[in-house]
Order: sequence, then C-alpha cells, then structure tokens
Amino acid sequence: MAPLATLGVLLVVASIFSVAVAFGLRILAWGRIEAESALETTLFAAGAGFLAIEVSAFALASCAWLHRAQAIAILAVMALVAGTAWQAFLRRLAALWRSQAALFTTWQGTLASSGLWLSAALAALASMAPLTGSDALRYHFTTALAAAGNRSPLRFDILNSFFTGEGHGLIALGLALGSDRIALGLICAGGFLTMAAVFLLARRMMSPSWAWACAATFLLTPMVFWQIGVSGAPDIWMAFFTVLSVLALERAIREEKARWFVLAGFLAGAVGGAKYTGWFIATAVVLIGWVETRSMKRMFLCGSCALLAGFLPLVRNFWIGGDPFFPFLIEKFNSHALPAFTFNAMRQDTRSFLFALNLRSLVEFPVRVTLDGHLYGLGQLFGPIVLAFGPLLALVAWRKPLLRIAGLVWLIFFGATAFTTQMGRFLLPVYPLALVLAVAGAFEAGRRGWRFVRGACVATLAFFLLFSAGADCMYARSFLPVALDLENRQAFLENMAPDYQVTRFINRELRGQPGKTMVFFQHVHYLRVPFVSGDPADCRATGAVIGQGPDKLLAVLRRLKVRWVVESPDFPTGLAGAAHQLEAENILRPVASSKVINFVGDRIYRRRKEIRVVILQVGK
Amino acid sequence: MKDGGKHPFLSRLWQALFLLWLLGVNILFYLQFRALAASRLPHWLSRWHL
Repeated sequence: MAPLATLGVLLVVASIFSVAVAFGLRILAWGRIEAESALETTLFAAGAGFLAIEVSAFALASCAWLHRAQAIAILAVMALVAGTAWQAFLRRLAALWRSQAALFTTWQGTLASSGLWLSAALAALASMAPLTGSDALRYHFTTALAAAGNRSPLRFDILNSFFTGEGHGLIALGLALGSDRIALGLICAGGFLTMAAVFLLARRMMSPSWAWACAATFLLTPMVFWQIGVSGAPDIWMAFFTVLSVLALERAIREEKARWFVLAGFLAGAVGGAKYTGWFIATAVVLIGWVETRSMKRMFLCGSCALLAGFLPLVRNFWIGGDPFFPFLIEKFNSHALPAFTFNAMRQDTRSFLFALNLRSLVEFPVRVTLDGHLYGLGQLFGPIVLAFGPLLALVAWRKPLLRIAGLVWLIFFGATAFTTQMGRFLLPVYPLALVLAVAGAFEAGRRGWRFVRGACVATLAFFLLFSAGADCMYARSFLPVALDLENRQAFLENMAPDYQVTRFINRELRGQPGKTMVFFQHVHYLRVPFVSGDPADCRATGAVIGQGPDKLLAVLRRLKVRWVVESPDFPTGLAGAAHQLEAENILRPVASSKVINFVGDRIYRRRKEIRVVILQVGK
Repeated sequence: MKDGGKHPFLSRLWQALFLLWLLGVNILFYLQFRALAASRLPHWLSRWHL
C-alpha cells in the first residue's frame, strides 16, 4: 500500500505544482510579461504561483487558521483564477516534454538526461520518508503543525519559531492537507525548480552540455540533495527565487520596462520573506537595479514590490516579539527583552564555531568554508567546485549585465554572511549563482583554447559528480526502504529520528494526562502531549532563571502550568542544581523511567548511546 | 586571446598556477571526508584506503 501512498503524495505535489504554474501564467499574462522560452515562462510562472501560495498559507498559518478546508480553498481559488491559462500551461508542458525527448536522440543526451532523471527520482523518493531532519523536528515543522492545530506558530519556548518565514507557508499547507510528506514533496519540488533555473541561467553563459553539467552538479551537490531530500527545511526555495530575481532584473535593465522591475522586486521580496538573511539579497537586487539604471523611480518600484512580497514575517515578529528581526535587533526596539543567556545562545547558534570579525578570519572564510566546512556550518557539503574554479572568475565576461548582476548578488550576500554568521549552509540561496559563474569561468577557459585547464576542470567536475552521486546514494540508502514500505515506519523513526524514542516514551506515559510537560531536548515535533520546551538556550522563561535557586525554577514551572518534567538524560547545566534541589525536597518526584537509545552528536556519524529518561511529577 | 594572446609566457604561468591551485583544493577538500568515510564505509575498506 505504501508505494501507492507515496505515488499519491507525489501526485498531490504535482497537482499543487500545476495549479501554481497555471495561476502564475495568468499573472504573467495580466502583467504582459513575456519570457523568452517555454522553460523561462514556466519558471517565472512557478515563481509567481508559489509566491502566492506561500504568502496566503503563511498569512493563514500565522493566525492559526490554516486547516485542510482553507488549504484546499487556496488551491481551488488559484485554479479557478487561472482560467484559460490552463491551456497555456498544457502547451508549455508539451513543449518542455518535446525538448526533453529530443535529448534522447544522441547517446550523450540520453546519458545526461537519464542520470539527471534518476538523481531527481532518488531525491524525490528520499523525501517521501517520514520526517527526521534535525531543525525540522525542532521548529520548521513543529511550528507549522502548531498552526494547523489552532495554536500560534510563534512560541517563546521555541524562540527559533520566530525565524520561520513565508517558505514555511508551504510546509503549513502540506501539513494542513494532511501529510508531512506533502510538505517534504513541496520542498523537493523547489529543488527541481531551482535545478531548472540553474540550467536556464547557465544556458545564458555557456553551451548546452556545460549547462547540463551545471544543473547536474547542482542537484547532486550533497548540500542540495540533503536540503531537498530529507532536511525538512524550506531554504531551497530562497535559491529558486534568487535565481529568478536575477534573471528578471537583467531583463528589466535590458528592456527598461517597469513590469520586469515589478517582477524582479516581487521575486526578491520572496527571498527576504523566507528568512532574515534573504533581505540581504532583496536589498542587493534593488540596489543593483538602481546602480545599473540610475533611476530612483525604478528603484522605488522594485523595492516597494519586494517589501510587499516579503513584509508579513517582519510584521508578525514585530507584533508578537516587538522586533521585526526578533531577537537580533531587540535592543534597538527596546521591548520584550530576552535573558542574556538565551540571547547569547541564540546568537551563538546562528554563527559558525570559528566565527570572528577580525581581518584574518574574514580573509580565511572563503577558503575555509569549503576546506574546513565542519567548523563553518557544513560548508564542505557544497563541494570544491566554486573554490577550485574561483580563479577562473577572472576570465568571465563581467561586461555582460547578467553575469555582473549574478556576481554582485553573490558577492553582497557572501560578504554579508562573512560579517554576520560565517555559516556555510546559509550560503545556499546564492549557491546556484556561484556555481554557474564558476563553471562559466571554466567554459571561458575552454573557449580560449586552454586545453589543460579545460581538461582539468572537466575531470574535477566529473570526479565531483561521481563522488556526490555515491555520497547521495549512500545517504539516501537509509531513507528508501521506508518510502517503499520495505521498512516499518516506527522502526525507521526509532532508528533515524533524533530524540524519537524519548518522545515515544513520553507520549505513551503522559498522553491524556492533565498539565503540560517540560522537556529539555530540541526535537519535539513528534510529542503528542501539551509541552513546554525548557532548554534555556531556546526558552525565554527558563533562560531567565539560569543559575538561580530552586524557588525561581519552581515559580516558572507553576507559571507555565507544568505538571511533568522530563530528565533525558540530564537537566541543562544552568538548571541542574535547582532541579536536583527540587528532587531532594520531593517537589519533583520520579513517576516513570525508561532506557532508550539516542543519537550522540550529528546523526550522519551514526553514534548512538543508551540514555535513561525519567519523568518527574511536579508536587503541589 | 587564443592560447596566451600577447603574453604567452604569462598565460602559461597563470594556467600552471591555476592547475596547482585546482589540485591542491581537490586534495584538501576530499581529505576532509576521512572521518565520515571511516564511520560509514565497511571497516576493511575504510582501513585499506583511508
């Protein structure tokens, strides 16, 4: 049954994609925006359509009003509004199918296409496994699930919930439609669309075979495969909107038509609306548009559209948290102060281990983010291509606006990342630009007749493709059996989802019991009891009593109506003294315990350890 | 600028330096994965190759 269920979920995702593109085509027709090829039209239409879905779903989810009926209503209204655009959608689809079929007439084309389709199928299948991504279990899906259950997605005990943006509208939509697999499928669809956008961008700079190599490298890059397959993070959509906004801005500058500035603005705003750091990209697009055209009017038009597309999360965070970029500008807005411990922990959490703002660190960052990636937010998962081909950027034809815009957006975002977080994985939104430009450099070297350089670049690309394909297959190996119903879902989750065995024990013991449960682990998505996440690094209330006496901790427990506290295996360092004191005074009384297996460190290293979980009841 | 253009020596020097850079980056990049490979590859393979 499950392979059929997987097929069903993929069909639902394909239907949502169709509605988004058909609706987008209608929007493009209204705006008299005519792209240059079937692929470009489809991608711009997908951009417009998915932005509309994201914004509507995000708005409803923020009010805890996104349920199945509303989700279906959003899609139905969009399908109806599309009207005659459905015919155009089918024509575009047929044109794309024909262009794909034409590739299978040569053995090289057959090999390249088959490889790409197989990789895509592998990622799609992996995304059909139950959710196990760490950050997704911590907040991406947890907050969206809360919204689907009539609760606010923002929680002061999961402060990361304030980092959610419009991309999470798609997750909320998938969950409202009844399945985390629909949400994961939509993230995967974002990856495929970005791959197509990479091909489109690369095709403007190089020959078809090099553009194919670019698209394949992008899809197989371990960071991309992980992000679109199983991570449960919607960041890949930022990459999609970034590439589209660059393409739209180039067209706007080339044709000097307001409608293209409007489109570029909306698409750039979609990047900003997805995550705080996306505003660096939106700002870059608007500023580059101004520098290239010297038109304040156009800049305001583009900027206003960007704000219109992405302002919702800022308003929500200002409304609830008192700071549109909560909590990073909290001192400037002087409200809803966070305990120093929690604020510092959050800032630390968004920075790489080696983050430093001295000249040496800033100079080293572009190299070490690739070569010491584990110390710089998993930067090694992007592979060596951009760094290795970096010197060839000197050969790229920067006089062409498209290359200049792409290069500047990349440079500005990279610089902003170096100064704010130095986290490699935060570079995902501009990875397509960096990859295409780096490969454009290699292509240019070939055009100049530099045979050895060209050969070495082709060998580097080929080796990385093989390495990535092998790594992706090894990684996906654990996720495919459950997606194909060859492995039991519970067994898979117990084996692969961090903290799952702990949550299962808590659900079994406390489901139906009155009162809230305070837990100190981060992966709370599968908890099915009312809970408070008590990790002081992510919780305002417990962060305020860190290092203080038992009375203060007890007051917090009483104020938050906590009846159960879970020790798994220890209390957080700053709270342990107070909690043990409450245990000694018999105010916290153990009522159940169990031994479970849990991950130690990153899941990818597969280190597990037996831990003891104790449920304590808060005495009266 | 076909194969060096006006300054073939400088062009070839540049290409040679680039090839060294490319090799160095590749070697350093793949060396990073020793620990990960050791934890995921069969023991005999990880020991033999890494």
